[in-house]
Amino acid sequence: MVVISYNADPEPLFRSIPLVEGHDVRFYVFLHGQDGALRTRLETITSAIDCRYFPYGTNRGVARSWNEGLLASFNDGNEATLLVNDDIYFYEGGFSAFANFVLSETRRVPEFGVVSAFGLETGAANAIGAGKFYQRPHWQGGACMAVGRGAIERIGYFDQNFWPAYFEDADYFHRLELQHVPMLWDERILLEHNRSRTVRTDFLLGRLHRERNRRNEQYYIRKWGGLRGWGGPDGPPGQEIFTYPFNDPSVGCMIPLTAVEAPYGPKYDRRDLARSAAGVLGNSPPEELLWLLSKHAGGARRLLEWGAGENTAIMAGFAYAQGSELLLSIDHRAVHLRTVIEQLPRYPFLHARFIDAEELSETGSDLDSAYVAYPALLGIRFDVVVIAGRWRMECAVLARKLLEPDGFVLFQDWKHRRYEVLRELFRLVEESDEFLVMRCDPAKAGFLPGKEAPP
Amino acid sequence: MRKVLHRLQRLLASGAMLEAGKRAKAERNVALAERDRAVEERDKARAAAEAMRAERDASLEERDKARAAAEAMRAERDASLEERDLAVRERDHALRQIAMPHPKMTDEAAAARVRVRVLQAASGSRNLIVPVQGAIANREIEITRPFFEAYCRHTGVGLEIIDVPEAITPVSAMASLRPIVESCERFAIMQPYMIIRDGCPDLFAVVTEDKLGAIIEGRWTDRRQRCLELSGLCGFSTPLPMENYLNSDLLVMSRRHLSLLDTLERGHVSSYGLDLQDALNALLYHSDICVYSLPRDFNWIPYAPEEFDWRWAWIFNMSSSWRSPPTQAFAWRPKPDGSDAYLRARLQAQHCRLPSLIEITEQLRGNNVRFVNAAEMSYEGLSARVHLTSDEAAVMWCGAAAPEGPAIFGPYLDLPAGRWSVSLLGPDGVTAADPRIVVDVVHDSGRNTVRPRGPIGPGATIEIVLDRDATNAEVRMYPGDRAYAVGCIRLNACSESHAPEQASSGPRPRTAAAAV
Repeated sequence: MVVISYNADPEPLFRSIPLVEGHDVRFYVFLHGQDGALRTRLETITSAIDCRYFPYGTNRGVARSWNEGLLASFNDGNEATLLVNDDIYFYEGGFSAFANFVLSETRRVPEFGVVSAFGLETGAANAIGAGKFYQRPHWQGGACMAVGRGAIERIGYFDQNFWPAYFEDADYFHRLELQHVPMLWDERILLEHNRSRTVRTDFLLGRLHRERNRRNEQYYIRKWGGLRGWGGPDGPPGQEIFTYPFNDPSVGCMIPLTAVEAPYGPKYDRRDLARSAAGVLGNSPPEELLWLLSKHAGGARRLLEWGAGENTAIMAGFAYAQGSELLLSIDHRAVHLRTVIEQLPRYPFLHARFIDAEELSETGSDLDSAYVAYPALLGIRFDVVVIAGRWRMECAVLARKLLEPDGFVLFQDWKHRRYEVLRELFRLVEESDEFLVMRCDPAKAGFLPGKEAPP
Repeated sequence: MRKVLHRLQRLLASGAMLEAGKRAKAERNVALAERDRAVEERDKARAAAEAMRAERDASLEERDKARAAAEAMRAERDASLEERDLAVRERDHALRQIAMPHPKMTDEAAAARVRVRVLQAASGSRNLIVPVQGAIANREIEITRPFFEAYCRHTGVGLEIIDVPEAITPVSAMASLRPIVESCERFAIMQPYMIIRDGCPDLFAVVTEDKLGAIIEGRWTDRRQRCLELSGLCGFSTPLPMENYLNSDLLVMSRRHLSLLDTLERGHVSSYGLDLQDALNALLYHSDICVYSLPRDFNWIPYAPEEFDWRWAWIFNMSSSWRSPPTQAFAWRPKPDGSDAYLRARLQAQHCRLPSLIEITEQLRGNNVRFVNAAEMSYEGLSARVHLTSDEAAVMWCGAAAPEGPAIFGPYLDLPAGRWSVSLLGPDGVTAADPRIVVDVVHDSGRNTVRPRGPIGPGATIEIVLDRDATNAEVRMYPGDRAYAVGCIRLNACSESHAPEQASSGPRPRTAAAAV
């Protein structure tokens, strides 16, 4: 059984799989999340059972880990290979019943592609959830299915261009259908599925989900000419119009093991997944910020940003994951800042401040240019300073005094001539499309960061 | 001939007579015409006189009317002046009543005492002083104290919670702190209903020693009227500018400012009894103490419901703000004579502040909760209403009655989808209410029932599942065979988990997780 864990409590699933009912179950557990407590819990669980544990700790994509799990399972010579989501659990006897069904169908239809289960949809009736199937039994598709050798032989592996999740199973079913590989299902209601729980309960994942899903959808339409269809035996037909991927007869449905990393080559593969193995989508400023924060600011305790917006949500999600103690977000637009903040969870570490240096602000104090100088008033030093608002050069100059000795400045939208002087003030660490990552350079700044008293 | 002559003479004579007659007739006609003209003129003159008389009468009438109106206005004005004088007399009387003699600090009963010295600052250094006076403050300090302690530990400041006798006025209470703070180099005085967030900067580093730190309230809310009134009460020739009016809930001071407390102690601010904030503002107006205007986030008072968000502040001050606009204006408290009768009292924000403070502290600990106070609920008739307990806490009260429709309902919240626990709590916001209270939970004007009507059960907590975002969610309480009171309702968003229920009996199968 191949299971990918991100943030869900793993116990309900593992508890629902009895180890003594005539089946020897070997688990292939992949950890994509970064939660320390979950990692510890999984280590404890996996060490007590027959399991191969892959604690990657990055959101490398469901298709990638499924492919790896399938390969490992087939190499191990298991009788059946099941892909099971971490947000389901089996009813009592449900797992054995499904395993028996898969084994009997394997004998009956040896060339089968997949065998899917049916289950009760729970969780929420929202779009990120079960939708109209909420509280109804429904075909589970890739959420709980056995993959047969027939599928691997005829169409190969999952398309890793779908990242980080969703659409990879629909693509697989469509390819099976085009190749006339049998797809089977067990119509008994054997499990409950809290669909999309991972995205729904993780603020940062939820925030990034819309764009990631849109890119997947865009790729699916490019590949098949229409939106996904095959929604199970009772689902409506799909809108796919191509019988070959990308409507190119020279491209087949087969993705062999040797081609899983780049199944269709530079002509058709997505170009925004260069950093997908590290859990980041390309051509997206919020994802880029997240990537840079993860890369340079792991363990940051205090974060500051001038200029609120999409960055604020990313920084808040990052700070929450890191267990940071302070995120101070300053903006000069009261209504805008309020709108941004209202969309965020009530993180105890989050501080929002509307400060307009030119007019009376909600924080107005005796300071002259409060927007820039306010952080200095607090006598606090920061590990990360993101400059994306007004008065950027002034903010950058002050940021040198606000930074911890090993702190970073991320300067957004830096490709302008007037910001070239920044390189004289800081030591450049990295240039990305959207951000300039810099550290204080005592030689350039003329003082030691973190050593001088704040103004 | 003679005859002829005679006839001629007669003819001549008659001709003359005729001529004379004609002349006389013409003259008479002229005279008549003149008379007619004269009569006509007389009539005209008479008519004109008549018109003038009528006009005069009309103007006289108008004048009389105007006089009557003026009289009425004068009477009205006199009445209102009389009323105002009466009101002023009453107010002055009340103020004099409030302005009780200032206690001497040697008077044991009136002196403030240190209740708890939580953290001991080094001698001659910096202390945070929290005066606690009255039942409401006593309840609130239990909620906010951990945050004061955390702040003081973080900044190395001493913390002293001071018991202030309930009988003395707030001005005297502040003055009574004088012996306690005189040994401090620096001290800050904060009210027990303020919450300091984790990581709040050191107030003594923000405010320099020579200045008195406070937020200028007049910058954020209209204090013009109050400044005018205060200036009148203090006899200022130039009114106190609104831009100078500070809030007294947080004062960062130093030894240099002890004179301020001395003056308060002597009570020489005004011949009228002023409240603490007014008294301080009046004193500072004519003193040479320099005030440092703290940023608003160091004393964030939510002046509007949308400002009820602690994320805007280092120090959140509930002050006399409502959590949300109250549905009730009055509350009922038992008569002090011990009878079953109740007295009506105006419901104040302070009566409902405790649940909001608990809500904030819970949220600051990372819990997604919403506390609903008595003023946010709606009540059916007189069978249910807001009561005030003996220690001034507002509760939802429902008398014994036949269980027909809901007696208490509301607060019409929008709740996100997910699992929620709903708890009915006592006035302290902690203990569970009567488990026999019959409740249901609905949303969208009662069209969707989330939890059917029934006793809330042990722990006075029920769990509900919202499959989609719900609008206008209501908790409805029904009357029963005995009266009951609920202090507040706690709505707690549970983290999503779909753990299967444990088997009720029999051995559980060995599972992967159980093997751990």
